[in-house]
Amino acid sequence: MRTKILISVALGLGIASLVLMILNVVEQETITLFLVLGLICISLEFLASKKDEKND
Amino acid sequence: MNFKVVIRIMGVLVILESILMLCCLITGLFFHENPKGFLLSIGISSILGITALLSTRNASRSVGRREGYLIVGIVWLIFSLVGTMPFLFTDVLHSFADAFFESMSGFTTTGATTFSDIEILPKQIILWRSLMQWLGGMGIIVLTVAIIPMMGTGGMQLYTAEANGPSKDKIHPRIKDTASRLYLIYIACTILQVILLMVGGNSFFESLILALSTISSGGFSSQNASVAEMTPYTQYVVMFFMFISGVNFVLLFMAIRGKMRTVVKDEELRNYIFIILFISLAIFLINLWKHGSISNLEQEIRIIVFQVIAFITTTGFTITDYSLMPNASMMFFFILTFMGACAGSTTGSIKLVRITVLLKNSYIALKQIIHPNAVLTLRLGDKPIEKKVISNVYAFIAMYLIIFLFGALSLSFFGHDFYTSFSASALSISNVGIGFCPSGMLIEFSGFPAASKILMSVLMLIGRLEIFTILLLFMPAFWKK
Repeated sequence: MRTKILISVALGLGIASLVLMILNVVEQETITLFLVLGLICISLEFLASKKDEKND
Repeated sequence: MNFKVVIRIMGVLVILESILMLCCLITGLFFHENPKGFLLSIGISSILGITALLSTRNASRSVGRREGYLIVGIVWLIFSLVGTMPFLFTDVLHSFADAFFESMSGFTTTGATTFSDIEILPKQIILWRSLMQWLGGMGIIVLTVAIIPMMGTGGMQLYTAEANGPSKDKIHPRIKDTASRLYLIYIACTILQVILLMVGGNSFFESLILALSTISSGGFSSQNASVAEMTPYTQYVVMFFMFISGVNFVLLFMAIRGKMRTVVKDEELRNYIFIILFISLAIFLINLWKHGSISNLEQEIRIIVFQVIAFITTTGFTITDYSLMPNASMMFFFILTFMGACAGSTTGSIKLVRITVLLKNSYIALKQIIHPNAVLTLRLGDKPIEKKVISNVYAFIAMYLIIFLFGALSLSFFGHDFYTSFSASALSISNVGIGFCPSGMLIEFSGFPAASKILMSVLMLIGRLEIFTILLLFMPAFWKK
């Protein structure tokens, strides 16, 4: 469940950044914010999956 | 259909694209350019690629034939979409249609551009344009075939989808090795051209840009005048490597291995050389007849041979304003647009081997009328060609011409004149990138409506993937179990 949520959020942010950039409706700072949030999601998922592997 | 493996491979490829963007970012930093545009592009593409990989961690690694065709069909689209980001984020282009056109033109090695002044562009963008072509040149899939096996995913199906020419001489039974060897030749040719250009006094950056665009038969240059204002030495080097880009890479490999007899006996290669020489001579004689005398013989021959090779290999570099040549000479260039060079090269268009099959079969059909009971077999070199292959060749050429005419018709609906519609459709589907318009050789794509640019981008994609790979995706049977 955790994996699904984090990856969905990251993917959603990535696609949203791409679409917003294509439509040219937001400032680059907003896209940067989306990217930072996306990278945080990926990092959290990466760290959590490493922890899971260790516990197993 | 195993969609998970398709998403996984897409993820790997998008990450690969972001690595190439990183090269441009470093170049930009070296030239003290604003890195923000490429940082954002790398960020978005990395997130998309990594999430695709993470979400398909447990996917089955088997790639079937249908998955292979689907990957080939959509990878160019994804690459081009992601490739628009650097143009938009660096503010060198402001509309998505322009950026998509430029990106698709790069990845399909077409070389048509919406920029009217290239020399004012940041160096990182100039490098990005050429890198797109270099990656597209050999076929992203061949690169994938060399990389994907590391993930434990097979790639034979991908190679079949990418190289659907009438004959495929295998140089090694294992596809991974084949792809790796072809790619080594590709990289070696690029490095060799960079060295030769630098020996001629060109800077490393300019040599790199030219080499990346030449071996991929792309045609993006760092100068507004393409290669017209470069030294004769540079033009000869570019001419030689353009010629090489039109040769079947399997033959190049055989030549390196010393199997020169096989190379010399190759019918398609011989036709390729013959057509270059024949059409160059024809254009030379037409120009001589028109002007009465030639002031500089070496220059005239260099210009004609260069332009003939640029058209037949679908590279699209320009060395002269060929629209000032006599109409008959221009007609030869237009015919070359539809020929293409050898199958298994980086060039686009119909390819000479298909035209050879078409002509030989037409000759056999005529002969059969005179000798109705004769058993006549079509041969390429020593090999007989199956009826099924001949039928496929006919279907390919018919579809090619239908799509070309459909493209021209659609462009005329967007307000382009008769001349420009035909030329724009031809230069897109054949991935040549240069054409003809009433006002001269340079078509100002920046002035085209957005719909025309998107349509031309679609034509470039269809042409690059040799039509059937794309059309297959629209067959309902393709998606059924």
